[in-house]
Amino acid sequence: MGLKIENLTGGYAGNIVLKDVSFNVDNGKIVALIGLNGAGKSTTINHIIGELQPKQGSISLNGTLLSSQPTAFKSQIAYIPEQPILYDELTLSEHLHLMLATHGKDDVTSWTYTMELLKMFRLQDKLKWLPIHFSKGMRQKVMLVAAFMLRSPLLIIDEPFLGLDTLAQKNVIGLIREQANNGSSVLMTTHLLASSAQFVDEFIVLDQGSKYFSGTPQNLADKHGLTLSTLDNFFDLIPEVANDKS
Amino acid sequence: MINPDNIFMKRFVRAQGTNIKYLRLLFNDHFIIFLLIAFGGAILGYRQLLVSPQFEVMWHSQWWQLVDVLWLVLGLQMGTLVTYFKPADRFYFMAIDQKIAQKYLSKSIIVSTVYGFLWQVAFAALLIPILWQTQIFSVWRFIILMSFMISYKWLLLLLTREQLFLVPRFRFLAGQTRVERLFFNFVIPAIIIILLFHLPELFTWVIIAVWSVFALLVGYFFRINRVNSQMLAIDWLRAIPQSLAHEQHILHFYATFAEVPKQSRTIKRRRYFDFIITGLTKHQPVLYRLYLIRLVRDTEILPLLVRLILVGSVVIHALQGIPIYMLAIIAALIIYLIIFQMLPIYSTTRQVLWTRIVPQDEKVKQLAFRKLIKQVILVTILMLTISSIVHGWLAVISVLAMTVVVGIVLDSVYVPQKLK
Repeated sequence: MGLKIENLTGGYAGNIVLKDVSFNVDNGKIVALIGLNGAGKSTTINHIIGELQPKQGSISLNGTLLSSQPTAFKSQIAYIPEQPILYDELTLSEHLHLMLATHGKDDVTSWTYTMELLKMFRLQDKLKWLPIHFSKGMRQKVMLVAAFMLRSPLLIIDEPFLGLDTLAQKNVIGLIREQANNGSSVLMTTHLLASSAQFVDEFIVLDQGSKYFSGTPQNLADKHGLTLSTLDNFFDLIPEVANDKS
Repeated sequence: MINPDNIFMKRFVRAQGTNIKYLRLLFNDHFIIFLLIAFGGAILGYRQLLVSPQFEVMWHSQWWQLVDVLWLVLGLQMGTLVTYFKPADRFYFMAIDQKIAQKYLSKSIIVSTVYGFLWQVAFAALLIPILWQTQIFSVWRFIILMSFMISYKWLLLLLTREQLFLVPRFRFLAGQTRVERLFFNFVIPAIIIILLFHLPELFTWVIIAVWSVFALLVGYFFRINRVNSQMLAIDWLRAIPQSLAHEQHILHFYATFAEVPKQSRTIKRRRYFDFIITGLTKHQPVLYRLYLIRLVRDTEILPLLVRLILVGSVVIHALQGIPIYMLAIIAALIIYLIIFQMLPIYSTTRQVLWTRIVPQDEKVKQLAFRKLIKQVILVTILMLTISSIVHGWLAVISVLAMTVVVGIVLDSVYVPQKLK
């Protein structure tokens, strides 16, 4: 089952960005959406989290359609945006309890796991802090904790390593793997192809709103005469990719 | 090419456009009815105070004259230096500090002085009836007082401008303490105003003559020309926040009556309210608690609501001799204002992506917010009803009935419309 995107066409206020995009993120799989700026990665994610209404196509998660059961659909998602989103008035503890409560998970077991995550990201002694006191990296870590603690069926991460120190990056990779091993679907966007090729099952390449490629990192590397360690050079080939499509 | 000769005036014109936009919004709204009643009531109350014999003694007392002085000194604090500096100026104006100091800030002083003048006239005008009542004031004394007020305001603006420079020419201005600011802004003008109130008229002429010479000398010392502007660099880290704070003050004023975007917000932790958040409402719906926390830690809406409830209660308590239906109408208007002021809590909460993606139905989110509104309205009704007790039981029943009916109608018709 997992996440199923079928013939998705959509964008912002009459401006069509995505054109007939289809792909799946099966349970237990880690899929990375890649592409240059403006390729449609964030637009795809905004459609999946219900911020945008598709013009055509459908989005479902484990059989639940976003269009007909938005609340049931959203209750299965944990989302980490590119820019941290926090309420200025809520402490770290209140943010986490709010998130757990809205997902019906504000219990001792979930809180114990949350405390483990807080320790991992060295935030355990900042529970009473307001966001104004957090650095940019700490804000990002709060978002990570708030998403990982839910252990949701679908984890969506927009640029997971942005603003994180190397230790936190390692922790994030470990947690993504752990969630996938426990059966969650993971959808992420990234520009760091070589690094993410180490743990991603599938790359989906978007170019100007259309799907250009989907397959394993090795497939992508082979197709363009690259190796896994030189995959970052893929973006140099994007003009050729456009020619291939035409 | 950036031309600092024109850019201030362009920004000034744009700021007036924004003001007109919000004023139009304000005066086109049904809120104008409240304003008319509020102003009418204030004028009526002021007139009653003036003609009432029991206040005749008070106007003549030394204590009241001290209130007059404090009122005028308060007026001096109104009208800050208007610069319209933007955060991007730090980058784009980096190489033209000299021109900014000489041209841009000179125009800024002229515009700010005009605003300052209007503030002083407004504050003094409100005092005129009382000053005449006491018969200690002549036209000449009043003109002398106004001349002093306006020139002092001009000097305060010059000092504020000087503080926007990295190295002020008068070193003392570089790091003024609170005590020193208190001295400049309050103590000195208060002493001079007291002298102008009490000295024989001939001496007041002497004081104003000496003061004029002093003010002109200070003005000459702080003039900015082509030569001395070369030594002036703008302290952008001070100038930009000063300008933004001024802009936010104006927006906050409009936000009292209309929905205004782009408002910066500050938060206070207010730990003393934690017992409500963690104790009393522990088992309430999670989104209700979210709205409650945002309300109790907000530094704009909560104080505004408290002020509205207190002022409304005082007004209802103090309005003697007016028809009971007027009391009920004022109480109803306060209920409306309370609800109107609370609506931004919902819209700003919705602006945070988290609120939109949490797996909760929109209706549940709206009901949670309406619950908070109902509780605040209940407190308001209670306060207003208690305040009306002095007018008799008929007034109590009228105020209670009117506020309950208006509260129910607004909550069930107006609020759901606004939350859509």
